[in-house]
Amino acid sequence: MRRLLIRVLALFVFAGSVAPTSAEAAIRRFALLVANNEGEKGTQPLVFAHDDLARMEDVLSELGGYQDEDITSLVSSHRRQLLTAFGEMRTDIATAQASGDEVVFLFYYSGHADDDRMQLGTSELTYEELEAMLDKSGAEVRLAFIDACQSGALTRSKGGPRAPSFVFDVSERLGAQGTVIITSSTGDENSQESDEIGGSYFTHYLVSGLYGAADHNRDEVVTLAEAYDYVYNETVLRTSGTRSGAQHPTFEWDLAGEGDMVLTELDSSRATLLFAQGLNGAFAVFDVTRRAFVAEVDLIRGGEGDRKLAIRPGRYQIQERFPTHLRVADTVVRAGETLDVGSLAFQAVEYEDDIAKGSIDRKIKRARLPDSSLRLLSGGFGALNSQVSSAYIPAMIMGGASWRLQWREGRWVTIDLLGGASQSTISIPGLEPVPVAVGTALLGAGAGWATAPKVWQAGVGIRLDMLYIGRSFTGDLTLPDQELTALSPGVVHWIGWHPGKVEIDLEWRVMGVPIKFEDRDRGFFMHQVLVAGGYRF
Amino acid sequence: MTLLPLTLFAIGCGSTMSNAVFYDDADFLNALPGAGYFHLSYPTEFDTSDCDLSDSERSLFACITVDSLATGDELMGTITGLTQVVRTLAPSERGDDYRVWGPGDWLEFAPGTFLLVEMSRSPTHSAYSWAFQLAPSSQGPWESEFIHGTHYAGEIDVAAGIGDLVLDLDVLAEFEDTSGGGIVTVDYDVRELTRFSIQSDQFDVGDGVAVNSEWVYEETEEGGGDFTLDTEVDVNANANLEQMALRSRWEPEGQGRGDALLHGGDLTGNPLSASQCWAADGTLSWHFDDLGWIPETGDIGECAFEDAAFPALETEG
Repeated sequence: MRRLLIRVLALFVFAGSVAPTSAEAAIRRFALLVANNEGEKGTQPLVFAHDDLARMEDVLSELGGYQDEDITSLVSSHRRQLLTAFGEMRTDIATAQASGDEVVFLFYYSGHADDDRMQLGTSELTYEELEAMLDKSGAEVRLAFIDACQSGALTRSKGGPRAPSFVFDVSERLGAQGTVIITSSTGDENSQESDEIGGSYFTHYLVSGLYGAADHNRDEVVTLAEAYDYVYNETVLRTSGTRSGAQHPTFEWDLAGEGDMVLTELDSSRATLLFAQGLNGAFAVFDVTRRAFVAEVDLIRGGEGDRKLAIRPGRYQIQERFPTHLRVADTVVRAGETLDVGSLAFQAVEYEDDIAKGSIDRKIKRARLPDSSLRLLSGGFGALNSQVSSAYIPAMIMGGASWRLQWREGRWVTIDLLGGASQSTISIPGLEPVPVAVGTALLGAGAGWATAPKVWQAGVGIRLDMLYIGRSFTGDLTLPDQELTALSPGVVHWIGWHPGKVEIDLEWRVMGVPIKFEDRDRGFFMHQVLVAGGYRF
Repeated sequence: MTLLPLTLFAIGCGSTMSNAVFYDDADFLNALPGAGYFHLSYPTEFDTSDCDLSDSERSLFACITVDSLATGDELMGTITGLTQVVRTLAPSERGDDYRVWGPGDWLEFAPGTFLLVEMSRSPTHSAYSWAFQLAPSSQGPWESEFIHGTHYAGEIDVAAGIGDLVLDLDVLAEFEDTSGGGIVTVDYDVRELTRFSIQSDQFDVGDGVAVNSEWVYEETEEGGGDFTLDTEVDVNANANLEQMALRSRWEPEGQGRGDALLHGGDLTGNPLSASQCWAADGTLSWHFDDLGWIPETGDIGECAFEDAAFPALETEG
């Protein structure tokens, strides 16, 4: 029944009215793409959100009629950066409209979310704010693709159906104006990533569909209806057997006018992969150069007629998957060339030899690497014991650099190189103050635990420093310089403000110095109070 | 896990950092007379000007005692003022058992005069000797010791020891190009109860008069004082010097008694012994002299010390 409806819908498509490359239409397309692997406290970081964004950016740029300068991609960005980018895009949209263009504004998000907001790292944007943002864009057509857990809450909040009832009167879509929101799952479902395909199911099939896999009626344009139909079917099918259960994309439609909304046009001037009628099986297309899947084509469920994928020229591996092995064919597709996949010589390979899997595994490993930040530190260094401070080692001003790795679960390690100096005096009973120049260098490492990575964060840990302190007597040239070197264990406490890539920490370090002086029968403690400013990579 | 930090804490890689040389510097400087111990004062203050034996209101012996202590304190101040110059300087040369300061042009009262200070100590660090030498240039010659001394360190505090010093005012006068001088010798013991003994030899007291004198000050266990002065005086201002010996004792609150002998000079054959008691403010409370120079006044019952304690006569002039 559903497929029939889509066919009926396709018959009434008036693609020319909103075709992306139609000069008469004077349609300008803007896209704001946002991805963040990080969510709030307690969420497992995603692995492929940034890759999903890149693939979405590619297909919009290559086939969607979006000029590069009209696409803004934000990776690991926070609320403030998103709102700033939106503000700039809103200005551009107004400028385009002032020159007579009609505007399509597409918002895409891949990341964590819950039932009322998107989690942009440690910040957030509520669905209410997102809807307001879409409205304020001023664009005639506003599209939103939300690939996030429980994102269906966004459509449900407006009464959007859970099921794929993509049924609307064709006459209302001609000369379209309004908003369409498509989400990757319902309000009570998780949206899943797949290590096998190297991305989220939803975006993977959305992009596949936009490259041509969703071209149900073989008219070489992919419409909004076709894309939704394709992404819904493939996502539900592929996730039904997963541990998290089936994932059902949803939509919210508020589009008035005539005609379907064309999302991509399969430009024949680009390289084309042809899956001729009669060819059976499910094929995956892997971009060898970019080391990412481009699309999947299921010819068993794909309808009748030849199937085309409009891809960028380059090296590809076409994979046909079987339960026990793969059949693969490596090929190069040139600009303007149409390559018949059926003519390729496929070879059977083991899954262990799958180059796509190797690439994805490497991405997964990289995603599990800790955050790395380079920090500059400055502050003071002195002895906790007043006798040592007044008679041996006066307080110093110090500065240096630190490299810190921090894992999501809170573990962190750091290595530091610090130096300091001061001109001061030491006090000896019975003598006038003795002028002294004192300097220090520390090379150390620390490890510890921190609270969950949020805007405010605190940590504790242990340290081990190689400590050098030297002093020279500026007022008396007859005395030689004196030095102290020691391996100093210690503890560190810090509290940090981490609004995004920038980190500002206040650290207090206490270190034991196992050196005895002639009038002390034990070592002593030094401490550092440091302000650290860093940038997270 | 807990053993690891403890083990690491035990690892000290090395250090040459030490204040030993400064503590040694401080020991040397503490062996010099310092203001912390070298000062004298009477427990109460009162006017001592125009005191006279015939004054029935104020005690002449109290006035002499207080003035003598003030003079002694001034002398101590002069000595510690000199040593203070050294305390502000870093040694120019150091050894295990010696220190040298200078030479330097440091003496404000003798511009153009260079000072060299040398100190040495015994291997056990128990005895320190020191000398201040003057020269017209930084090259010397270093032949003029104008003050030198020996100090035996206290057991806990180097400065709280015993010692002696000699101040040669003739050397100073030579460099200041003035007349007058003399030699002052001080023996001291500042370990617990302070004791100073000062002898002056041809000490210029002005008007061309140089006297020999000796006085001894001892702090008593009760917190009072015991002072003996043996000096030449010129009672009738005729350059025929008499010998006066005065012993004064006082309580912590300032009440005191003095017993004096005056002989020789114009009193040859007629020595005078006299005793006075005084209140804390110096008011004469009792007087008696064996010549009846002044009629006995006051009540001996009001004396802080009822028994006389005359000093021994060194010579019968």
